[in-house]
Amino acid sequence: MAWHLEFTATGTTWKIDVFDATRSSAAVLNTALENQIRERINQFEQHYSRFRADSLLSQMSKTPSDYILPADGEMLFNLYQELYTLTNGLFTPLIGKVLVDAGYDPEYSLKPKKLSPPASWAETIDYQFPRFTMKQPAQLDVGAAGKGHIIDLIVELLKSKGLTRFCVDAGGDMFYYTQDNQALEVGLEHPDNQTQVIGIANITNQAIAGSSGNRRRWANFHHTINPTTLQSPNEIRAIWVIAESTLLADALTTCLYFVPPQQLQKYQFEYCILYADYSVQFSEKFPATFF
Amino acid sequence: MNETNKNLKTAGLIIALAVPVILVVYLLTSHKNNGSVTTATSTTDGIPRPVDVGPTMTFYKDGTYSVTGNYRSPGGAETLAVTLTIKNNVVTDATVTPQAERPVSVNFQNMFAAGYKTEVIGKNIADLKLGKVSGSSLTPKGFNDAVEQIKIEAKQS
Repeated sequence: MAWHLEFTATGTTWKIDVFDATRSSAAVLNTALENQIRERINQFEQHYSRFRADSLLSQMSKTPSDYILPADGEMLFNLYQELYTLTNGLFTPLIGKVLVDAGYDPEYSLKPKKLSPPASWAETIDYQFPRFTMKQPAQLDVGAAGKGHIIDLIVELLKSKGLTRFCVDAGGDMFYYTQDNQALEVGLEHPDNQTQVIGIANITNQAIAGSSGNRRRWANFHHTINPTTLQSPNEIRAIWVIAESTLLADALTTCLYFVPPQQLQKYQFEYCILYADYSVQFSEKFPATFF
Repeated sequence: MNETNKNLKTAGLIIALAVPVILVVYLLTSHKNNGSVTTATSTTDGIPRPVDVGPTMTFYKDGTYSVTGNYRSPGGAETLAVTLTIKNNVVTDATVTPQAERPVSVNFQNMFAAGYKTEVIGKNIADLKLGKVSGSSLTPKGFNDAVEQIKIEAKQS
C-alpha cells in the first residue's frame, strides 16, 4: 500500500510517494504529515522565493543591510558561493535582475526589456553564515538550487518519521530514499515530446535533477540565461545530474549549461547532456540506458 | 593547478582526442567496400591521364569496427581502443575504451571516454513501465496562461 501525495508549490507540481507498507508507517501517513510537509515548503518559500513580495529574499533584494539567515540558508548560500567562484560568476544568485528584465517576473509579463549583466558578488554581497550583507539593492534569485534544497529538507522530514522507502519529486527533480537497496527507475523525458523518454536511469539513495529549456520558454529565452552573453543556451537541449543531494544535483544542472563537467570535478556526480543535434554526452558511470 | 600541470593536461587532452579522430579516418579508408568508384582516362598525346567524372558514392559496409590506437604521451607510449558501428554509411555508435597505464594518461583517457552516443531517440512512456520521469519543471497554470496571452497579443498586433 503506497501513499501518494500531490500538490502545487514552488511554482510546480510536487509528487510524494511512500512505499512503506507497515502498520507503523500507516500510522504516520496522515493529514497531519501532509500539513507539516506543505507548511515546511511554505516556510521555505517565505524565506527565499523571489515571487513573494514579502519574502526575506525580496526584502534583501530591495534594502541594503546586514541580514541574519535562517538555518536552512547555510547549505544553500555556501554552495552558491562556491559555485560562483568555480564558474567565474556564471552561476550567480544575482541573476534575478536578468530574469526579471527578460520578462520572467512575478507577474509573468514575459515581455523582454533591455538586458544588462548583473553586478558581481564582490560589489554586492558580503556573506559569512549566518550574516548576509547586501551592500546595494540587487534582485536575488536562488531558483537554480532552491528547489533542490527544499526537496532535501522534506526528505529529512520523512526520514525523521521513521519512513524507510519513498520518493520526493518536485517537477521532475527528485530524491529517492530506500533502506533496502531497491533501485528506482526514472525515465529521462524527451525535451520535445513529453509523452516519450530518451532513456531510463536508475537511482538508489540519490537525487536526480533534470533541466531543459522546453517548458519555460518565451520570446528568445528560456528560464536559464547566461549572465555574460545575456542569452539562453540553445546548443544544449537538456541536462540531467545524479548526486548525493538534490541541492547539488539541481545546482549542477544549471552550471553544466555554462561550464564543462571537468570544471566541476571537485564534486561527486554523474551527468548526461543532450545536445541540439540529439547526441548525448554522459559521464562514465551515469547509470542509464539510452534508446 | 600550476602552469606546468595545466600545459601537460592540455597537451595530453589534445593527444587523447586526436587519436580517435585519426583512427576514424584510418578505419574508413581501410574498410571500404567500394561502391561505384570510377576512373576514366583521356589521351591527347597518348599519355593516359585521369579525368574528373563527377561525384562518386563510396559505400562503407555495415558493421562494427575495432582498432587499437597507439600514441606517445609526454610520459611514454599509450594505447586506446576505439569501436565504431557503421550502418547505412553513417557512424551510429562510437565507444572509446581507455587502456592507459600511466596514472596521468589514465586520467586524460577517462575524461575523454565519458560516454558519447551520436543520436538518441524517444520511446513512448505508455509502452514502458515507468513510475517516474525526470525533465524540466512542470509549469504552473499562471505561466502557461501568460504564454497564451502573449500569443494572442502577438496575433492582434
